[in-house]
Amino acid sequence: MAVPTRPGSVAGRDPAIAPADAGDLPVAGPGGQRSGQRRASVLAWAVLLFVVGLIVGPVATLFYGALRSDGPGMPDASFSLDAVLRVYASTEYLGSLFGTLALALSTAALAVTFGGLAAWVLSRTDVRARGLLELGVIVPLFLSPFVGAVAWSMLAAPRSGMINVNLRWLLGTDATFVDITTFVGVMFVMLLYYIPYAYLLISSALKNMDPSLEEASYMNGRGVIATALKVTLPIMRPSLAAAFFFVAVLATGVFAIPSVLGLDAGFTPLAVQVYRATTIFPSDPPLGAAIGTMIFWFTLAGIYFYRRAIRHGGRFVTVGARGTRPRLIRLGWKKIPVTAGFAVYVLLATVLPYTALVLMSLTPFAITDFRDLSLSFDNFVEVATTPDVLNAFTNSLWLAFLVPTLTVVLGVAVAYVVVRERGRLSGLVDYISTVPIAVPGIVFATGIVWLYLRSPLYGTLTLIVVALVGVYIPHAARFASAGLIQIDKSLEEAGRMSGAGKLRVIRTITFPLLRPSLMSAWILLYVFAMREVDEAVIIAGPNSRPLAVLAFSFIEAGAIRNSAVIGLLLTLVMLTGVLIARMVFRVRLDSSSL
Amino acid sequence: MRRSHRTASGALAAAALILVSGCSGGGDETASGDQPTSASGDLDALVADAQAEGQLTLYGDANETSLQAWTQGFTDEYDIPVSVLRLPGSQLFQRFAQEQSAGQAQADVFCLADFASLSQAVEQQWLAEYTPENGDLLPEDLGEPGFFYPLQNSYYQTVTYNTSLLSEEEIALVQEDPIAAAGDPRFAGRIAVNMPQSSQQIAAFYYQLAEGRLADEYGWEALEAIAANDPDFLSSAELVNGVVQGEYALGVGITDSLAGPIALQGAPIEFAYPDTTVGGAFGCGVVENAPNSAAARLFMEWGTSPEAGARYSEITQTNPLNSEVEDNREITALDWYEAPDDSTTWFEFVTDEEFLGTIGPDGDFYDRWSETFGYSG
Repeated sequence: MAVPTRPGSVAGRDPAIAPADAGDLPVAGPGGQRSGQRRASVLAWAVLLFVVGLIVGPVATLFYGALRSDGPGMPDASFSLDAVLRVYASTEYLGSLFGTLALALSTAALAVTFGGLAAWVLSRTDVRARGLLELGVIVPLFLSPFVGAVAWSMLAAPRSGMINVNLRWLLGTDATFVDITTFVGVMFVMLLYYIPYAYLLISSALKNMDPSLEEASYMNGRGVIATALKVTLPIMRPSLAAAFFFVAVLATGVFAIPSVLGLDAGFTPLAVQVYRATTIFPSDPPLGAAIGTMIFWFTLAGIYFYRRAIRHGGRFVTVGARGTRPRLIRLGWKKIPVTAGFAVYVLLATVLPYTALVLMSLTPFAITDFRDLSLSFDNFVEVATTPDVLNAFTNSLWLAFLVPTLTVVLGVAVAYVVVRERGRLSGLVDYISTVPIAVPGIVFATGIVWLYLRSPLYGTLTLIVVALVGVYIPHAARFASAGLIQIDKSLEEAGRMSGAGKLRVIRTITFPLLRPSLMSAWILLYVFAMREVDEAVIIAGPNSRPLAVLAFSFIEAGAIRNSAVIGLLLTLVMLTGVLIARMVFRVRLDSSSL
Repeated sequence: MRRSHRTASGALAAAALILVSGCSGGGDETASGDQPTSASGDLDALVADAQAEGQLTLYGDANETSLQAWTQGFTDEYDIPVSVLRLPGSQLFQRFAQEQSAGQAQADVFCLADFASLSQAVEQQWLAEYTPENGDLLPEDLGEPGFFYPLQNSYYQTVTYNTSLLSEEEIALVQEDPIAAAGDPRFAGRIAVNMPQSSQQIAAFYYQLAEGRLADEYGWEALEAIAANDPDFLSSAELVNGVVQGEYALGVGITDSLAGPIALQGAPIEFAYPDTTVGGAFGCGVVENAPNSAAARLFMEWGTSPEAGARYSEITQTNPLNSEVEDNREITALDWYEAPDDSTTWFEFVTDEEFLGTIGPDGDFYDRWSETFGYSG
């Protein structure tokens, strides 16, 4: 019989792409109060100082910037409420706010629906080629949403997109089949890139769920659908809610996709407004900061609900008394349509965008009518001979190595303090280290630039590393927490009893045991750091631009063809890294390892 | 235990370093001291100093590919690699101003299309005084001699169209009067426009039609007619892509420096200049406290040379400003191309007080334009 456990003794695996959270970690248990009276360790203070420097500093600077008459550091800038009043005390941004929330919430609802269905099919049915299908679902994580948006713009622009243009002459009609610039179109592209997040969160929870409850339902004569609706769904509800709020928070701050697609739905998303405030003539950085603070409050609310949902989810995580495996439902002939559903997703999220990218990279300008295609490798030569490309490539490699490495180390420290030390200080560390999820990249980057403007780090690659480490702490801490709560504390205590110091214990006992979780975290952050645009486009100096920012610059210069070449190059580098991780370090890229 | 405390203390120190570095009061102020204000005939010494520095950083708001290709000429000649930071003009100036105010000079050469911002940079002493030997080959009124020079030619606003989407009759209509054509109902739902908020020059483009010297001929009514065609709103680069791709038949407010090279590559686009269009130039100057000040001065020497002017003209197909450069642009040989008339082109918007007032914080031009077009971005 399954034994529901107190959160403090949970041995389940946690969602992969989620922040460290007190809710489902031991600190949330009643014991936390008792241990909260412990004196905080030096390590806890050090970690707190780090997360304050990396996270609170930039966010606080952003609020400061919103209260200035000009960008911090500018001559004659003074205290001013103009930007704040314009954003909060007028109706000017109400349309953007409602539109942004509608876009984010609908994207999140659909991502949870499709991600949840995929998770259920892959964990509860006998569908074939499960590993391959799961890979198909999570592969879009390894594509830059920005590059994907560029590709979809070429594919589905209403008048000139490849799909519309070629179907028209094939079918002899003037009809518009798809329009990616509408609310639904933009939501569709966002959905493609957020389904993997929802899938991982839900799939992980489904695997942790005690299948004997479903088994009991079957034994009592309930069918597949009744069991799914009456047993699985209610138990999974907190995890579904958590996935919903997590995706909603990310989608609220999205900038690249609506910006590239040129959303034509009567409103401009708030994150795009932030970018515009700093790029239009005349620029208005305080306004951008004030809009950023408005996004922050809403995403913070989303994070609150997310943590709450996770906390409730923790109540249902169980350790089975026997090693019950879920009963696999026989799909029979339904395997074909189910597999076809996965294939359609792979087609839309991976195959079509890459086909468009390849075509763009081989044509001298944007040609969408296949009858007029004129292909050559000239663009590859042009990009290869662009002076900044080699430097940008080197910068990208440094970022892809340093960011995951440092973030994972700090993530372990955060998780150790939160999971093992407990107490008020660790609660504070836990809260602060969740905050970056609530701050859109472009907004966080603005705070970073202002904060470090007068430091020697300004304009350097190191500053991008500092920013990205701050941004990705929640992810690394989550992986580390998930691994840490499965390691018996007595192993560490034995080390301490034998005279080893805390850091030595972490280095020689905890760290090696955590290695599989940390390797998964490392490889995911490697991909994120390689494809990152939102932060780097604001922070990078002339010598620290990574490839993804160079691709963005090419788009702004009207050279989509060059951007496509760089998009392909980035993918190649990411795939190489992922393959090395899989072959050499045996890092698995599915929800069980993530 | 003692060891763990030591290590933790190390971590604390490192954390403190992060905080301190974020809050410290100023980076290296690379004091350039009294930089020479000219090469004084000793170009060889300048070349040696620049090569000893070994690199150059250029900030610019022209398009990325043009800047990269143009500055490669400097690298080829002097073996000094150039790093380019390209951002939209307004964002670039904000960044530059913040860096200079914070004593955090990153750029060696600063180039911008916005004359007023460049003048402000001179006023704030963010640009160093420097007179290149060939400086007098460039028009004085498009720069501020001694500080910044129009190294990157002049460029003009156009109405660009996709030839595969327009009939012969429609092309003739656009060539005849591009502004009136953009307001013709036959282009309803087929056009996109650049916004005046994109740059000072595009603001001047609309201003002269609505309230400036062409107000009697066009006025706000002409803009209302364009607005009635339900245009989409895009920046210049997005707009030219949209026209090339065939998303729009007509794009209003695209610079010829963007459209020209793409047209030469064989894209199905042509463009027309309104009879009295708006023109401008990218001004470049040496940055005060530039990290590589000799390389910056050498770049100004190179940039004012006829060779550099010809190179830029060839890359961007823009009209050369250097008096010793012949206009050998390929685009001038195309039968549809008709060069703008410099004698009627409005370059003076950069100092026009009425214009600067109406686009300033107390002016209402942007609001009225947005209201006319129903633009909410």
